[in-house]
Amino acid sequence: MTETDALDKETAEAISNELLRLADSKLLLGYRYSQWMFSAPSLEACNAASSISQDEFGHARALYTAHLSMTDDVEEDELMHEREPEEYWNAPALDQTSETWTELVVDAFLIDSAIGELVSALEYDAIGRMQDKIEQEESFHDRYGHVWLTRLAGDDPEATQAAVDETFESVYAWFGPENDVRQLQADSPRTDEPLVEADLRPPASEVREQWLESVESVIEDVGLSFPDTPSPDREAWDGDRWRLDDGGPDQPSIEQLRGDESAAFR
Amino acid sequence: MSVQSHDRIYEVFAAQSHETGLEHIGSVHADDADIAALHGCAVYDEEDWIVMKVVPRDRLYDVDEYAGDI
Repeated sequence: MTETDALDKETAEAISNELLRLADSKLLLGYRYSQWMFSAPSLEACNAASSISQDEFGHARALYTAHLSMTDDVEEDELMHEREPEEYWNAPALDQTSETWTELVVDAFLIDSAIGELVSALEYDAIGRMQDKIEQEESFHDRYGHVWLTRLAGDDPEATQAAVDETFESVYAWFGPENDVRQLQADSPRTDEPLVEADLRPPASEVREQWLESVESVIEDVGLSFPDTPSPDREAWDGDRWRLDDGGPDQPSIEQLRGDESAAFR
Repeated sequence: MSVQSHDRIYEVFAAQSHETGLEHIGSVHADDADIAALHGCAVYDEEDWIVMKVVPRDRLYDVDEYAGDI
């Protein structure tokens, strides 16, 4: 693992950006789970949604701490309480509330595994002693997703496949255009290039292949499939926020996550 | 779709050490053993178990001398 002191400014910034993308995604994922704490299919499933939500908020906290340790550009209060939706760098598939339990299970399975692949691929010790705990918790989340996908795909394969189709395309696009670094530099620079050049992470398209390999076996195992998905448009790609539009999470979600209504007590 | 409610009850057993053996720690609702196991793990995760098992309540057999429901 590489130490902070050994990094040049450009590389440190690229790591800091990567950590913000991962932290914001974990935060939104935790929030999406929390929205189902009182409406999951059974009391026990509510309990599990609450537990996983708490895990994800913990992972977000560890990643935010690592992000903040690498940048002088932002204060913690500003990061947690003052950003507008278009300033969040989360995976776009988390912009909206999962409307059904099926959508939540599918969304969480595809997105959490994608985040996990990126965290594992980063050859930089960002989360230190939290690593073992996070891996242990993520192992449960993986199993939770697999078991529920099996159940849902058996009960209603059409609805489950529709949820997979919708979210897969977004998560696939999240990793960005195919990584020919030279070509990317020529027409649409990615701000994660220093990570690749410093051998701190493979190109994101390679991480996407690893993610595909891990999730495809589960999806096929439960009798579903992934849709044919084109590589995202290089011209429209935002290399910082990893998205094809200038949107962000829905306003009510951000107001809750920022704690707007409890601002007077801070 | 709506996810159906699950009426089958699974009893949850767990052990904190090999010496103490399994003890009954509660129950969860689920309609198959895989989901019951997940629920057991999520609901009863406050202690450091080394073993946890679930069994459908309706697969527990009465002992004639003490037959009945609780």
